[in-house]
Amino acid sequence: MARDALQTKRLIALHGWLATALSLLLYAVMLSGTIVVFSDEIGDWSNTTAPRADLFSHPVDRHYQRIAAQVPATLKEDVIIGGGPQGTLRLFFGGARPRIDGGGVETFGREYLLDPVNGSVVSAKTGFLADLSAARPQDALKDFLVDLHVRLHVPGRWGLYLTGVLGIAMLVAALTGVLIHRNILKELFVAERPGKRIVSARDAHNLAGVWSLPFAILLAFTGAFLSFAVSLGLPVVAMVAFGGDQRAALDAVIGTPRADNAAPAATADLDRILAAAHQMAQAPVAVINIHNAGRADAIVETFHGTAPGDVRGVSLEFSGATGAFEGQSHLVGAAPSVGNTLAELAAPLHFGNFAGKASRIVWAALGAAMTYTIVSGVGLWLRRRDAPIWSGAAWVFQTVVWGLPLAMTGAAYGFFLSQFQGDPMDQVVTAFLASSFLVIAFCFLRRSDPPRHLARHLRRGLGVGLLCLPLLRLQVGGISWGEAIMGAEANVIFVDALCLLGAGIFLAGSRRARLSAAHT
Amino acid sequence: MTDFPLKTTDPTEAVTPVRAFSDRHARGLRWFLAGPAALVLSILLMASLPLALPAGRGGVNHLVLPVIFFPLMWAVLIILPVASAQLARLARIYLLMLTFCVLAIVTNIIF
Repeated sequence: MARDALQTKRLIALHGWLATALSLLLYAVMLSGTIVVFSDEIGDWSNTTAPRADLFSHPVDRHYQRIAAQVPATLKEDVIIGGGPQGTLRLFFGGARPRIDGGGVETFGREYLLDPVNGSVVSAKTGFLADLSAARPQDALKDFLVDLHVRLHVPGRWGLYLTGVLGIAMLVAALTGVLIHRNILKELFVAERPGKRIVSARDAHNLAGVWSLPFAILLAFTGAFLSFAVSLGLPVVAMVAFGGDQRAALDAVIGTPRADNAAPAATADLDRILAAAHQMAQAPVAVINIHNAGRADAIVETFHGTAPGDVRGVSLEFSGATGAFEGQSHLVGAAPSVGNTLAELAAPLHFGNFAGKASRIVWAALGAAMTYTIVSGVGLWLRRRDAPIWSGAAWVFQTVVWGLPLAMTGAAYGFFLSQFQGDPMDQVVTAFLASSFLVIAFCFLRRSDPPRHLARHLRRGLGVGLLCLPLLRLQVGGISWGEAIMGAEANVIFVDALCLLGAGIFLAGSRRARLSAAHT
Repeated sequence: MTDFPLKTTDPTEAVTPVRAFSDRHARGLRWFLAGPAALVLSILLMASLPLALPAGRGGVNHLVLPVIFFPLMWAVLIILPVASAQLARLARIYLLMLTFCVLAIVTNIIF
């Protein structure tokens, strides 16, 4: 056999085995990633009973000054001002404190939720920032889907390692795909051959794979970087370059800490700073972070959404004592650098949020193409193998391919039903697990059916589930389309429309498959 | 170290015990280089590159660039042994890189 042929054979083996061995997890990450491209929209859609307004369109300085006067100085190292649940203004005052359970030093403090208009306190809690931020029942559905994509619900660093390894597997599969397809330009325009033969399935896989190759490389690379950067990269660099001191490494990476000046000083007018920041960034302020509040060296940092024409949002720094503009802050380091630019580009290129909804729709479409590439690739791999173990694998794969979106839809049902009773965070998980169990039980009972029949039933179930989801949302008190149009809640209509579109596609696909089966 | 030329796997040649033995070793070495060796080497590269790269204007390039390119380094180190016909030469290169990385890290820790 020629050397080139052997090399290609080995590359195909690596491409196929790597993708097949990790196919179920890769599919879960890709499918959830395609959905959480619209995580902001899903958050707004699932939380439709809350009045939403631009938080910082109302004066915040008087509310901040009033609460700050009641908080001890030790809890003013880090102040965060942003949006809270049910349209409230959230103020968090905190300082570093070790966890009693030995979990290291974390930010501990008080959280106040205020009415943004009159400043009355809706709720006040004390605790670690991570715990207080995690308890967001209004975002339970969005957080569940995001966590599924980011760490497959595996706790701690292990979840990030897992998704990082999946990113590497995807990157290797994409790069070997480039090496395997020598005539890549020609294959861009090869149409699927008719019939349900293996060559037809291979053509469909090649077509979707070749068109989404550059995107697959980009997504896999940025995804693996985002997973490994903090979980592995920072500790490794800290160990070697800073003798294991992660705090020193973090200080070097985040930027040179400013000289301490603990002299007491009143905080400048936040409303004036907000107005200046909005004008400079050409985008509204999303969150304010005050470091060392009430001191002469206080810094007010404002984080902004993406301005029209920009790829990413900026963050600006102002002196907390005088309100003077100090400069633009960087994700990495204190001055512009190649490393900072690349690190800052990773997130918008991965999430596709650099040009508003248009870029995210394109990203979701390409994500769907990649998901299809994984499914068709594994399907092709399984069709070529006759051993009984592979027919069992085909059953498992079919169950997961259709069962996962069904279970995610079930999680959305659980979230909306929790509006009547129960904790949304528990209900979402319970509904996901219950839906998964039902799908597995159904598939087990129908295990003698051919896989395509099983797929047809599950596809119909998914279509019906998506069709009824907007109706359930309305039934539990979500705003109507008319109210959404009047209140400029475009995201509600957008996600409802996506559900109906998905329902139409899956029900039509199921009907087509039924007619095709009847003919044969 | 013995090289494993790919022509020994030509199906037109007779399968001799010597050829079968060298094929098994070639496959084992390929798996080792693309698996654990690629992982260890990419982590060591990420750890040692901050000691060799320039810090740049922002003073962070040497810390950040190895972390950013870690996924790419790992992926390339996986693919190379699978695509390469000169396994023994590649193994020597991997060993050389590993030695340099370990030396750089140990020297930095000691001094």
